[in-house]
Amino acid sequence: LYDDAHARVGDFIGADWDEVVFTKNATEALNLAAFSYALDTLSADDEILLTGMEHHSMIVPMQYAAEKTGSTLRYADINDDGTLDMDDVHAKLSDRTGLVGCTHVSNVLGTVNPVRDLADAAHEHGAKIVVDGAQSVPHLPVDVNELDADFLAFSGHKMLGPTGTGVLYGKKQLLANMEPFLRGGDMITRVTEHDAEWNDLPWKFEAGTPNVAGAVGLAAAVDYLEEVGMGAVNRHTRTLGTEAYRRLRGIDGVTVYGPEERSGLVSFTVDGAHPHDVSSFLNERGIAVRGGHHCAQPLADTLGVPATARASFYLYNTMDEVDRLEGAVKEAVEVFS
Amino acid sequence: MSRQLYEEKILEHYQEPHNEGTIDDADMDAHVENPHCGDAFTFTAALDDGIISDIRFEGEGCALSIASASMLTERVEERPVEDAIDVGQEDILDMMGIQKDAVAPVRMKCILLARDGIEAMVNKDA
Repeated sequence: LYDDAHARVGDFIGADWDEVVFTKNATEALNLAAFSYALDTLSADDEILLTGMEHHSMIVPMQYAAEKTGSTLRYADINDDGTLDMDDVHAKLSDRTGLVGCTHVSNVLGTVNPVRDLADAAHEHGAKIVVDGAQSVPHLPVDVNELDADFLAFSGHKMLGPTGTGVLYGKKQLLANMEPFLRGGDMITRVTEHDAEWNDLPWKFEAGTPNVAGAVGLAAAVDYLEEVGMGAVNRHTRTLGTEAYRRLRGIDGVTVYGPEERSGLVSFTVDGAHPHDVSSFLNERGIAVRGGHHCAQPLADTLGVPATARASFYLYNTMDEVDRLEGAVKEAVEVFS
Repeated sequence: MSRQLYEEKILEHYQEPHNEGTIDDADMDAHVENPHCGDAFTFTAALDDGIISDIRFEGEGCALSIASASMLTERVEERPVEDAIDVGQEDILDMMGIQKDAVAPVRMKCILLARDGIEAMVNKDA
């Protein structure tokens, strides 16, 4: 069951079953990439290039990798409209770049980044690319071969799976050459007092008793999504997200963030109201949004807004709910003005 | 009491808070923060024979924290300093007209920040 779950998740993203490492979430997956790949391959002459819209779970492990290896951490700028400044990316990419880290879809701005272009650019300079797919894999069809991602991380709980499940995909050749992250039982074949031999992929990276129940749940979620079709999920959530963006943008006293061309979420602020108050207010009206920095404080700093409220849509949301959101936000504008 | 948080009373105190400012040469002061919301206040007070003769707060916060600070400073003003501590959660909710189950646990910190700030201020001086 557990092995099979690897295969089903692999199929979902176009990977082999043994290129799929189960973790407890996307954060752990990104840490695995940082510890097992970055720490071992980067040196003081190297650079890590991230973008200005990364999640803390990409940033903080890479800060550690930079600190420990002496490499330099750099950030590519975002344009005013919330898209990635590709000119700046190319300006900051060089043969010194050892690793590029980028989010596929921004969990704050809704921006969908040109991952394949970024991967090609990274590879041209001899760098690898680690992609944060936490917001993309649940929302749109993702094929690791099309993206040519060296690593891809995502979580189960955003894609109808249980909490406590996550995945790191890595190209087989990379994973085969990497040292483990977590060590102990199950990731070994033979242990003596002073030595241990690593198990095959993907077990080398799955130490200890696995979250079997979680894996079964994740595989079930994948099966369900395959049935619905990720193309359909994408169309549905994008439509809702874009419509919500347009409606909110049209309300006086509301500011929206990110480009019109977006995935299924929209972050916004209401003049004179703290995003947590907006969240509580909407909550009272049966609408669940999240308020805060959304684990992207550097991005919040860039936007000049310490916190925003964010409405995120999934396959179970409806256009009717977009109407309700619009109505409730209009009400909030009045109440807080 | 209503199930809705943002009743008139809270909104009024949020939009036009009482006791905003800083007292020069204050007898007591304290700074408190709620990292979750980004609320941050500095309380200052003047003491006159064991009575809080003047009390102000300055800073940034969400509607609940500001309303709470506005109402609580108003309440402890002109009263013995002992009355400003050991104010319970129930008292604060009552003061603000909030029903306990209308508040998400994470917002309690916002609601209680002023209480914590004033208590810290008084206890520091003690």
